[in-house]
Amino acid sequence: MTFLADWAEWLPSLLQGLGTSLLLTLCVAGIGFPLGLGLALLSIAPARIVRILSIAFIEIFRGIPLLVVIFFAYFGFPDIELVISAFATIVVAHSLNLGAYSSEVFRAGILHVGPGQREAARSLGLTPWHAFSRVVLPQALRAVPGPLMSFLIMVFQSTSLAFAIGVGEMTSQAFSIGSMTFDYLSVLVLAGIIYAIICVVSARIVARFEAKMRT
Amino acid sequence: MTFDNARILLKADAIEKTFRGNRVLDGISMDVHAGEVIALIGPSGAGKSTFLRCLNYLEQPTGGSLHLDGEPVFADPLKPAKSELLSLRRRVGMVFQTFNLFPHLSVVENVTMAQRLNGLRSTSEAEEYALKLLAQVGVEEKAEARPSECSGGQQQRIAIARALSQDPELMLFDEPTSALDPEVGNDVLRVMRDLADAGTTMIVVTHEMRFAERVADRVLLLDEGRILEEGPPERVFRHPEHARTSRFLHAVLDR
Repeated sequence: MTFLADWAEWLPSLLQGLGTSLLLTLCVAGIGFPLGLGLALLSIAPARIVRILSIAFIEIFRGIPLLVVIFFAYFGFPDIELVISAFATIVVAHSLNLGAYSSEVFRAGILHVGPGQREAARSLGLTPWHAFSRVVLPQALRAVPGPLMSFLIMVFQSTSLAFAIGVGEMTSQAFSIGSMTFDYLSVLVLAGIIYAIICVVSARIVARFEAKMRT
Repeated sequence: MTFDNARILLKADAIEKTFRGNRVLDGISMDVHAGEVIALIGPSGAGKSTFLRCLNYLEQPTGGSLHLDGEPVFADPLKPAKSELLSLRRRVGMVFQTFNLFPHLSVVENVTMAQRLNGLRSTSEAEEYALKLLAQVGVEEKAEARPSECSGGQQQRIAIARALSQDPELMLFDEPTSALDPEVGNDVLRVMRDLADAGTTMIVVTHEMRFAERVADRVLLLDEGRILEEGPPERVFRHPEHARTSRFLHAVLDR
């Protein structure tokens, strides 16, 4: 049972990394979800050119693997004289990815609101803005929390990609422990267990929340 | 007659609607007097609902014009300005076959929302007025409920209160009881009859021939996008001029 002693020794630094992972997740969600809503609105805008540009943006950032976007940002930003921390780089790259993916959820939510609702709003003489902001959007947003929370779990998992540019989140911490002890497998198992516990517990909470929303 | 014969509230002139080359409305003209109740009847596909929806521009006609109270509604009927559309829709209330209440709002909020957003009344006045309208249609006990907690008949009566909350000069009803069981449908028809008795100007697309006969001042029978027959209900129902009308009436009354 020597590995338990190792784990106890490594745990504090892994938990410190976990803190960074969670902070990253929070920042990415805070930027990525509003971006997704914005993109969803633009992708159904009346002006054709706006629709085309926003859908192109969405498809591009859904098409490029997140790790590639991270490297683009990491090596590309200095080329345009933009110097930001590795942490901020991850937040930007990851938010673009999350925005593109979550825009589909918001878009589906908006399109899910039936034409009868829009007609009722118009027939009452509401301005197009009021019809959208008071009738369509609130109903659209009621349908999205479940899928968005699932996204949040995936975001948390993919914060591990931040290790590629040296942000000290949990996977990076595990690697640096591994590089010192050469016990990569053991420390990665521990990190994996922590990831899994958090994801499984969150997924249960999401499932319970969704069941409650349905009733 | 309960209405003022001299005052024409709504004048629809040669309303046309073409969907992808398909002529749904073939130039329908109609004068509606203040206080008058008009029943629009006819076989399905005749264009009744489309015509009704052209009257508040939920469908934009491809030809013809509208006048409200003697004034043209649009400077250019084919290019309606946003302000003209809003003003038309605030003067004309509409009730849908499928109610279309806002499910995320309580019943009373359904009735207050447009009053507040359109700047018609303050929040407290809107609420007071909404409760009065809900009492008038007999659903005041549901004021704080969600629409989903109300029966279909209650939902439709709430939808009527919502439309009335704008103080419309004219009410449009698009098959208001077609989605309801007959007994709850009768509650809705009773509310509509009360409105008619109170002098509300109404245009009702309906398959309820008995309602049309008893409540309407005038019946218009539409067929293939045209007015086939028009007149007081007793004449249209008892002595139709066209064989097509009697065939239609037989078909619906035999059901």
